[in-house]
Amino acid sequence: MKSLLYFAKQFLARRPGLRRKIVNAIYRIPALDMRLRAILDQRDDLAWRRVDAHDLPEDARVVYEKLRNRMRRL
Amino acid sequence: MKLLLDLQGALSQSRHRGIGRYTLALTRAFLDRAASEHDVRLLLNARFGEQADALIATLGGHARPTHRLVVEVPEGIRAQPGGNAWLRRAAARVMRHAIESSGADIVWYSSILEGYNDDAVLPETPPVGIASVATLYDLIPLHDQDAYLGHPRIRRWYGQNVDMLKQCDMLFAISEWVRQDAIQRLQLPPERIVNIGAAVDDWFAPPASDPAASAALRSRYGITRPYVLYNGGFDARKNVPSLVRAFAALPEALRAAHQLVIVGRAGQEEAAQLHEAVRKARLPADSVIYTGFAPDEELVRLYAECALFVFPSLLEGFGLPPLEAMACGAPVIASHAASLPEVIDKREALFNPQRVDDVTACMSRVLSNAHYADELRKYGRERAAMFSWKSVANRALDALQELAHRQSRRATVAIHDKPLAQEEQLIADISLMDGKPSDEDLANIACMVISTRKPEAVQRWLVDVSSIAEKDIRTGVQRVVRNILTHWLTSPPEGVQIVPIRFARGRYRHARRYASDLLGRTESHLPEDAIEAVNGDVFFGLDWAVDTIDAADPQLREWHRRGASLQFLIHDLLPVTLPDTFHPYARDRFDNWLRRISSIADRLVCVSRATRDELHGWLASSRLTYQFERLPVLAHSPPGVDASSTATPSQIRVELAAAMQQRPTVLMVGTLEPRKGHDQALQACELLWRSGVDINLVIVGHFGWLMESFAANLAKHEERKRRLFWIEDADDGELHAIYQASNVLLAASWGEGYGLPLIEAARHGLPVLARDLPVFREVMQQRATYFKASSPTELADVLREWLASPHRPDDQATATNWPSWKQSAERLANVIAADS
Repeated sequence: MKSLLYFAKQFLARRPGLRRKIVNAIYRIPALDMRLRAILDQRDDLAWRRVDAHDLPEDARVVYEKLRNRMRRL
Repeated sequence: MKLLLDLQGALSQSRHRGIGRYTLALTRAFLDRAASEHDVRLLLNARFGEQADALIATLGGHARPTHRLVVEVPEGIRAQPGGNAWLRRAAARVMRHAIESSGADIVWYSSILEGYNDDAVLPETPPVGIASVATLYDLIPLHDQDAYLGHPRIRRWYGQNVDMLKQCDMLFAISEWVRQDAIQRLQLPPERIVNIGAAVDDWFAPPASDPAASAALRSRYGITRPYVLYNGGFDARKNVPSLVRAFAALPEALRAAHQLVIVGRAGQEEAAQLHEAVRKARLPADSVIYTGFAPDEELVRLYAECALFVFPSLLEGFGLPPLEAMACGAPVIASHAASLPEVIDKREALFNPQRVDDVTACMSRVLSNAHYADELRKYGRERAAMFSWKSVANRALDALQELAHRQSRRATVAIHDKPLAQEEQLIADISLMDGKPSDEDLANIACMVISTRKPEAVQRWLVDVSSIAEKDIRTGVQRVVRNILTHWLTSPPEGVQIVPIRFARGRYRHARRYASDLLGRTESHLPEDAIEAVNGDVFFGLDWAVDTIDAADPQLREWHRRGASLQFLIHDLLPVTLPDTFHPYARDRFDNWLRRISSIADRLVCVSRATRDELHGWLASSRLTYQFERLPVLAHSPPGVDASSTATPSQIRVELAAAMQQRPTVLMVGTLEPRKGHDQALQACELLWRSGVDINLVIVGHFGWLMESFAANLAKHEERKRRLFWIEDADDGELHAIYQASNVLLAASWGEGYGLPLIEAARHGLPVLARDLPVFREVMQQRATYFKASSPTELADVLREWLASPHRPDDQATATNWPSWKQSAERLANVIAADS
């Protein structure tokens, strides 16, 4: 849901007129407004903390590959 | 002497226990005593994020970025529940590497027995080339291995840690009993163990008399009579059931006149045992009160007001609760066992904890003799005053200096001088470890290795361009971002590497493609890989990254914790200062962004002095929780102004050109939004038109927000395209021509961050009539005429008066030097570099 909303935001960012109309419409439905905002504001602390072997900063990737290559050779 | 203090004992689960309290109190006292003479650095485990923040806040300047080493530790390396042997050993090896490469002479572990139930990690063997010191709280589990080390996993974990203790160059025992016990059980040479003792925190003192607070406290816990107090743990050695039995055995009159109040956090099993002891003692229901955990402020009053404090422990490394009670003025009796006689050196206040009748007799003596109780109170306060953290810190420092002296006479290999070789050795060692790590394990260890590296010689400024890199919609903020970043990339501040970054797919990444586009290069396939900040980096929020701040917040906090400086540029506070002129959604987003960045920033740089002053007021009135309990520093640095327009004036559209030739023109430039004062200006012009004043009102600017009815009014206005014009689509050339053909720029805005249209108008030689705002005065100084008009009528009078005697400021007399973008970028760089 969050990623769907994220893409919707990206889409609307390029269409400020449409975005304004949608935002104004949503604002008139407080429950929906709060719900959407809560979803967009959701923080997933662990998501970024989780280390992804395929998405490492360059320095870490070098060390990771050194380790992996050495262990493969052994 | 270079000392590295491992503070995991104050971060891990131990922070809830005496070890955490001891570590924190001693660290404070030690740093106050030693930091001016010695280089004392702090080792923190990033896994304990918020606890590390609190510790950094508590230690203040002692924990400044240059003095802390924050190691990224993989999640799930704890000994319990197992199945992670490779990761645990690899993490321990990297921790050894972190310490070895710190350049310290001595590392002092606040607690060796860590990492069973949490992700604390210590080296598996003492680091090479550095003396190792550890605080030893006790070896009580070795006294009763069945009770404490029953499970093979905990036995193995404890054994490994004890092996590490044995290999330390020096141990700091918290009492002489612990010292003697370690000498005997670990077969250690006596000179390797120093008794540095323990102390009681200053807030354990007799509280000020407050009958209302006392009554409230007693009422909360159901205390209705004078009471006998116990505070502490509930494991078997604490011997609490014996205390219950001893209380039950008091003479009936004495027992009936008192309650037994038991304070402390008991597990389910321990609580059940306690209740069973009470049931067996056949005590009346209200005789024994179990309060559970009591916060310090309550504990102090409970100590101070008790009739007697009893501590029947069989084994104790030091015995902090009796000392706390004595410091608060309680009469205290305790076991004649383990370390307790070191705390209470008065024989008649000690009893044999194995004999309930002896405990009862000792209690009875105090409860039945007020004079003796007073004598014990007096003794307790005097005795407690002898235990200070300052003395403990002094003993520790003396021992460390002696150790450093001994170490310096030894030939040691300064391996920390060869960081690359050291890291290669680390990688070789880890790759030889038994086990089959997953890719994730290897990646985790790689990240941990990187976190142990020293800062680079060239400082990196990680410049956040998240919003503009996603979409450049040519806002005023984005104009600032483009110009500043272009100047920084083409001529970076001295000793600084500029690294544009953006938050995307859950973390910060290089913004190489945006930077390449900005510089007019066509390298569209540059990798946008992840980036991590290290100690010494600067993160600068140049862009208004309102869409990403929520998701980026944890990573920014982590970077801050590691020692990166966090700084942000603030263009205005308008949604906060003029909330009614923004859509509630936009206002809330701005408020959220401002709160988040203010909570974590080291410095907030505003584009004007006026905004800085407003921000100062906002921070003072907002109750924010700051990451390190420290307010950000506020600064200001003005944006640049484009060189005088190089656009060739183009044709003004026909109907507007005709109108401008016929009558004077009042020009307003800016987005249509409520704060710009367009509605007041139009109403003022309507009044002037009705009174026969013949002028044009020309509004140049896109539609912004919350101005639907105003825009509709413009569209159907009777003066539309006669004397009233709204130009939404003027290009630079036409705007240039409109500036030249107008008579005055009206800046009727109720609030601005800076006011670039005023500067543009002045550069076109157009007089400026501006509302009297601090920011307009700051930007325009004497080059504008200022007005205060709270109503359309007042503004109409201002315009009428000005049109009757128009005047242009004397350019020579009032020359204002607005900075170019180059100057602005340099000035901003100087502000960021100050102390970062």
